[in-house]
Amino acid sequence: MATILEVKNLRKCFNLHILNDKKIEALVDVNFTMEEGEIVGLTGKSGSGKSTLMKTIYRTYLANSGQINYLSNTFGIIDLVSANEHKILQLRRNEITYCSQFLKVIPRITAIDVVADTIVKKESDRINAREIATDLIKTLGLPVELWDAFPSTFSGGEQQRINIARAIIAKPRFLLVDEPTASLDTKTKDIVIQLILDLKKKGTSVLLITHDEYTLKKLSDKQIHLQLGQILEQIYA
Amino acid sequence: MIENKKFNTSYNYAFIDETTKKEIRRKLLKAVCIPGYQVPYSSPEMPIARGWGTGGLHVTLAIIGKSDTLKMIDQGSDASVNACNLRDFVHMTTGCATTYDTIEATIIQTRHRITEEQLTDKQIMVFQVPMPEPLRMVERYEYKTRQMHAESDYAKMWLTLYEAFVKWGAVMHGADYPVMVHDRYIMAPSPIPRWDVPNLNNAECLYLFGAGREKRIYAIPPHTKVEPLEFEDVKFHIEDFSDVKCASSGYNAAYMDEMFQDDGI
Amino acid sequence: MLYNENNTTNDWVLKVENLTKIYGNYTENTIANTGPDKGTNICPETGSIVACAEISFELYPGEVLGIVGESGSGKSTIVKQLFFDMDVTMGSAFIRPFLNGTVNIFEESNQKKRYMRNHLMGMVYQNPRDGLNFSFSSGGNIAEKLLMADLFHVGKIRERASDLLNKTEVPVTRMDDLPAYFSGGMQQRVQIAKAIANNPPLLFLDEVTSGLDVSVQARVLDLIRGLQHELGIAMIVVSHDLSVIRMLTDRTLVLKHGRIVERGLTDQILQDPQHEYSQLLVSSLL
Repeated sequence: MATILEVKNLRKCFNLHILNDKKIEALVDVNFTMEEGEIVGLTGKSGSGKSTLMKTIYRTYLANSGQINYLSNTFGIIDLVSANEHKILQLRRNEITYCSQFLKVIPRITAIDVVADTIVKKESDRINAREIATDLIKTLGLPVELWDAFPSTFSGGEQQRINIARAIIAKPRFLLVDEPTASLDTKTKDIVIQLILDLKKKGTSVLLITHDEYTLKKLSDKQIHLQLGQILEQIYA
Repeated sequence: MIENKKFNTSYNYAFIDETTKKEIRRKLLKAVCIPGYQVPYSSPEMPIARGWGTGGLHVTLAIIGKSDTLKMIDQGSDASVNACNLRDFVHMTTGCATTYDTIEATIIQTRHRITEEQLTDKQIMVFQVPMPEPLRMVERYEYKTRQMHAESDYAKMWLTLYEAFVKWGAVMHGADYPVMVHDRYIMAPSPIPRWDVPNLNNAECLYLFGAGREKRIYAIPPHTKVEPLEFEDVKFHIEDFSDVKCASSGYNAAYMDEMFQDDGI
Repeated sequence: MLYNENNTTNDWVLKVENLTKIYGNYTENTIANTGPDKGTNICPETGSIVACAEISFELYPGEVLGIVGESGSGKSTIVKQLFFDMDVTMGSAFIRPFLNGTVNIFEESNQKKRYMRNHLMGMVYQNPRDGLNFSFSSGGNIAEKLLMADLFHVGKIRERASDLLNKTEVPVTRMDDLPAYFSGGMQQRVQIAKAIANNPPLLFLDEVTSGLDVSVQARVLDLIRGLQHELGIAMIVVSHDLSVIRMLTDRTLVLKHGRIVERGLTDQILQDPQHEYSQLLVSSLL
């Protein structure tokens, strides 16, 4: 099994110029690796740096120093910290998918189209994409009346399901997911967990943030516990 | 008797002085070298008002000689008022022969028609042109139209034809239909009807165009390609006279003109 | 993050190097005397105005680049120069579809520039009067672009014009109406139809929705987004509105006083702005 992700000496510090150059150290010397097909759970108290770490890997945040070596199908081993924006965009389109904690959408797009958009961008076959999207949100138990409604008006759990659906539908090589099962009932939790495990069977590697012990136990092969921006311990399941 | 020498100066042959004639001839040469390109020239003052054929006169007087025979057409007729006026003027200042017969003439000055007879390589046709710039309808600034000609930027011209077709189902330009000369310049052939436009293409004779008011000269040398602007699917067509005949002679194959008689018919 | 020559790949569709526009006389100190750290566009020595300077970036096929900044930051100047609406003081640009990107487009003859404008680029202006000819019908405006791209078949022109008007959600029955009889949003959509008529690989959008009502703005932006997904055109979107940038673009350049102060992925600029000015802009989002 190859190492798909190697994080070395990662440091992230926020420099807020408009607050008189206030500096906030979010990640301090983070080191860990992930193997292909592994599911790694990130845990820690609020504010320990879990989302920051994930966003830094996805390049939404710029790391100050360190390396994030990712094994890509297109480029081989590439350092996501210093890589060219064009390459990052290609990776985001084809290999890496990030699922945020909250659903952020344009309020005019229907639920099916939100989910279908991910694959439409890749293949431009809107009709086929909508079919696949419909199947997926059916599996997730979203009521039929809501399929053509706007997700910005949904309940937390319904929004969460759309959020997960649009990440899973892309079948990425590397999935970053932030709190996938928050605000879901047990039955839907199991469905989501099963979907992620299905992805793992197909070769996807997953980095997952969760507070939920149940999800953590069911999914993660390895747990990384963060505290104040540093790795406290790595536990193997 | 004391001769009044001060006010008795006679005019130069063909009215225009030799230096100006030289300038016009030079510009004519340039025009012949660049078919369809409008060459600016001095357009000297004439005893005839602008808009009555001064441009054509300039060209005719610059090239005419004692052995030439002149035919003058205006409004499509040799006998029209202005044609007579101009013909007399040229005869008075040059003493050359004049005629109504196309075959006899060596220089033909015209407005509004090309002769029905085919012209030979011994003849020159001079056009009086009111508006030499074909792009004037789409672009009012002179500096811009010059640039458009220089860069072959004729999309706006094509667009007017397209718009006319779309609005009225046919390209409505009846006279002065824009033509493409030598695959390079778009030219205004003066207000000749569509019927006459094919005569410009690959002709034996030399065509010269003079616009006195606008001060431009242009030319189409013999055997030059002159094509009316047309689309791939909307082609140029001439007027159709298959259903009418001349009232006095019964002739059918010439451009038919309508004339009103005294009883209003 | 500094712009690094070694950081580039070679499959760009547009590459701009050191694009500079200065109004007035300038010396070798003029550029150094102006800019965001000096807080001004006007050179204290010569009084000349540095509209934009040292602008370098690449655009890749199918990607959307946003240029954001306040009024006077030089964003429209950049696209106007690229579209040959304005002369360049210094700098070069290369377009891949034109001679494989080996020649500086600013040094080409007028004829070649016209060719590039008509065949390889499209531009949508903020004011429809700049992009449309109001004395021709809206279908005629699209036809003009097609005629400039050497299509001389009336039937095909009308077919393509109808097709484009359908795509931009303008009723085809209004194809022969003058643009003066359209609403602002519809005029913009006709402009967009005209700009993409010749299937250009590059599209420039200069503040296209500033001045439109919010619902109309949303519709026009949705249209642009949809077209971009469908046709995969590389676009440069100029706007002072960060929400437009957020909706349409993949990467962004932040401009201040004519210089690029920050460049990066759009979500990174919006969530983790590094430069002081970008942080100010982002915090000013309503």
